[in-house]
Amino acid sequence: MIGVKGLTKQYGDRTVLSEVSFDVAESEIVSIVGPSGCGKTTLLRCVAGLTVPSGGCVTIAGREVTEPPEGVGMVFQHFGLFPWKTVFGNIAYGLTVRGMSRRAIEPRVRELISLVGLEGFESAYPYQLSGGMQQRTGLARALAVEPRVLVMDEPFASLDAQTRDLLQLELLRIYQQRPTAMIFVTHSIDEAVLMGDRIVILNGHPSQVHDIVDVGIERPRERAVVDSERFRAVRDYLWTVVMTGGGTPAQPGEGRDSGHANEPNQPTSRKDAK
Amino acid sequence: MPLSDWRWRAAAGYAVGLIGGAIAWQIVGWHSASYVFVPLTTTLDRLGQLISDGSLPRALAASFSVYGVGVVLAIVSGAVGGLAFARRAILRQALEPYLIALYAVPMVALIPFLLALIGYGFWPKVIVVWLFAVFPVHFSTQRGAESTPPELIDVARSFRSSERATWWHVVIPYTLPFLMTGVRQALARGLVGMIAAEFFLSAAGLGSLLITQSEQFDTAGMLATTLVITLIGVGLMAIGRYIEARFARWRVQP
Amino acid sequence: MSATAPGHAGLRQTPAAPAGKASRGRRSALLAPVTAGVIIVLGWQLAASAFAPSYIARPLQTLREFPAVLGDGQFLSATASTLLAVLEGLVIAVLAGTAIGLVMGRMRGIDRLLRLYVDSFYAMPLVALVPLLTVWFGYTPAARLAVVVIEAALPIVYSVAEGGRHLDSSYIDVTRAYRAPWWRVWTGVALPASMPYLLGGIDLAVGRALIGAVVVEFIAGLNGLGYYILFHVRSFQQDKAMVAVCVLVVFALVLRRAVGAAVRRGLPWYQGT
Repeated sequence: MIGVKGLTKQYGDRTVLSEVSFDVAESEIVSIVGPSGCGKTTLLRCVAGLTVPSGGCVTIAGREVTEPPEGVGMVFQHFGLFPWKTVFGNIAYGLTVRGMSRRAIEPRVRELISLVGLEGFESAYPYQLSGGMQQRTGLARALAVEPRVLVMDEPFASLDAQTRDLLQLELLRIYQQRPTAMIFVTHSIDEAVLMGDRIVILNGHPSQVHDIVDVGIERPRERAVVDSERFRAVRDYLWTVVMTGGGTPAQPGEGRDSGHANEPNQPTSRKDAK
Repeated sequence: MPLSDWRWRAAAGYAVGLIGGAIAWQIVGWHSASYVFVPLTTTLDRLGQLISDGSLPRALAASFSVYGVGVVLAIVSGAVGGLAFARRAILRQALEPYLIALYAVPMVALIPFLLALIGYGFWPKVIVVWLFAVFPVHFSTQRGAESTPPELIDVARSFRSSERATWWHVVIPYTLPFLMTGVRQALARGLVGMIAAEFFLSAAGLGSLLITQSEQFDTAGMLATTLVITLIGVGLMAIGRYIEARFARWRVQP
Repeated sequence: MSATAPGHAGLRQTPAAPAGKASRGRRSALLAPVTAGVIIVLGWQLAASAFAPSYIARPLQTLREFPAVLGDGQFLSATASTLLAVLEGLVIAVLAGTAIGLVMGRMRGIDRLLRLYVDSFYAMPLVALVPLLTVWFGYTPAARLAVVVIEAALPIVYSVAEGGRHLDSSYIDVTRAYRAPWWRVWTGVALPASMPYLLGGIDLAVGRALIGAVVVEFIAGLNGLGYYILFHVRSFQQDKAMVAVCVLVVFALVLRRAVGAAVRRGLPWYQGT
């Protein structure tokens, strides 16, 4: 569904991303992790069409992305809600700018409001809502345009730990109801493993794809997944790579394709599997 | 209860201040020559006279018409100008230095030039009011539109909004609180412009009334008129602050 | 390769524009205002020459008058007269206004007594007091000084009082913990903490002081820049009057900076803008 090929982005003399390549299949969730400032957000903006790459390209459903394309919904770290619109107005925004009539918009928005659990808050303004509720609104807004692709930029980073845990599970539940291709950028390794089917690790200056890891945990995922051996193995591997900069792709699980059965203690690494 | 206790003390303080001022006015008036200062009671008498003989109502009508037209023109042209400058960087780059320079001119100093160019009357006064009031509106609006958070613009773009939709749904609502701050300032400055214009550019209006009264040493009349002007000023400021607060409700927190 | 999408011209977008185009940008940034300036001046000159009577101010003639006016004794004495009055009034206003404002800000009782009057006078157009003041002081420089002091003191009192009311209570806690005497609290804590408010008030005060001085000079015919302008406009020498207007503008700008800098130097601990 999403194809990132040799994506490169420069600002003046500074190269932020270099030859980043990976794919996202239909209904697949790919998490992206990496140290701060490694260009995760830039990558996301290129996928969403908000930034034009310096080199390489992004395709969605086979068509190259040069400006924000149809069928992409974006969720922002700081929610990005319009303070002067109600919850209803915010969620309806994508449909409003499409020129959809109010009669058509209303049932869709109401459906989404119950999907994200915001019944009763249709007329509330963002300043009256908690962080978690604001992000639910942001999510509903992105889903309103029935996207084929969801692009999420550290969506839970601005929330407190408890709300974060809650919304992670909410998102997984919503995904079960409406499977969509997703790119999920996060700082949290735990979150990346919990949410993603595969994890892209970005590293280096300029950023490159250090590794792509198969999470290999089945869906639907519950909270208990966090305690499974597989989860811990993947998480520990990621920790080594991301936090300490150690662990080249040639170490644990080298050369294995995701098609083969995995050893329980070793995550599969699959960089350059093309 | 502590809260109402505080409120009572505040109200009492203000009341004492008000009554104290009134008493002071009365006493100073008694002990002054009548062309220097008059007691409060005399002032209120004179106020009654000015109302009944029509000079005050006429002056109010003349003043408000000038003020109303001038301020409305200032708000509209300032808002449009501010938005235009935010939208077209070339406008801003080319003209902003001159606007800032013009804003630095004490506008009163331009009144003689206006007099020479267009003479006395309604429209010269309106132009003066406009000159006084337009700049805060323009600069506030421009600053607001320019400071629209890029993230919100990104949100609009991510939904493939046209430029028109972005202005309508994002920039203009974001800018409204700034515009209202400019309106509040315009209301105050426009009032100054109105009085100054009426000193020099006409025989009608509150400012002109003051000049006439000063030439006749009608101190009671001047105090009465000044009192009316003060009340108008206070009223306009209250309106301005109310408007500003109402639109700040959804003001984006930095 | 651009970070901005079409159709959103003029609106800021993330991320920031690439560095390295800076110097070219600076040169082209001057092009627009200079061109606009040339157009404005030319337009003014041509329109005035074609449509207006010859005594209307025109840019080229105004420029030509600059040396003559700046060397003219009459002009210089007028400038000095206004400048001195404004400076004198500002000094009085800053000293008295800060003191009154601090008292109002820190002493709730006095604040409640005076607030009605301060807020009312702040909300009204103070120029409306000029005719009254000319009755009290006559058509004399004293009237101008009184107007300047009142015009300048009001915003200062208002701003400093605001600052005093919002003084961070943690500062006061520290002074209590160290049992500092009351005058130390005022000079050591309240005054410096009110600095940003004071500076804001001074900014307003300078502009208002100039307006007040000019209005009085107009009405009372006092020697000063205001009267110089009025006289020369009335005697069909508008170009000379324009020069005086330009000098007034320079005054306004310089005065604001200078007074702000003086206040800040007097209180060097202030670290804000």
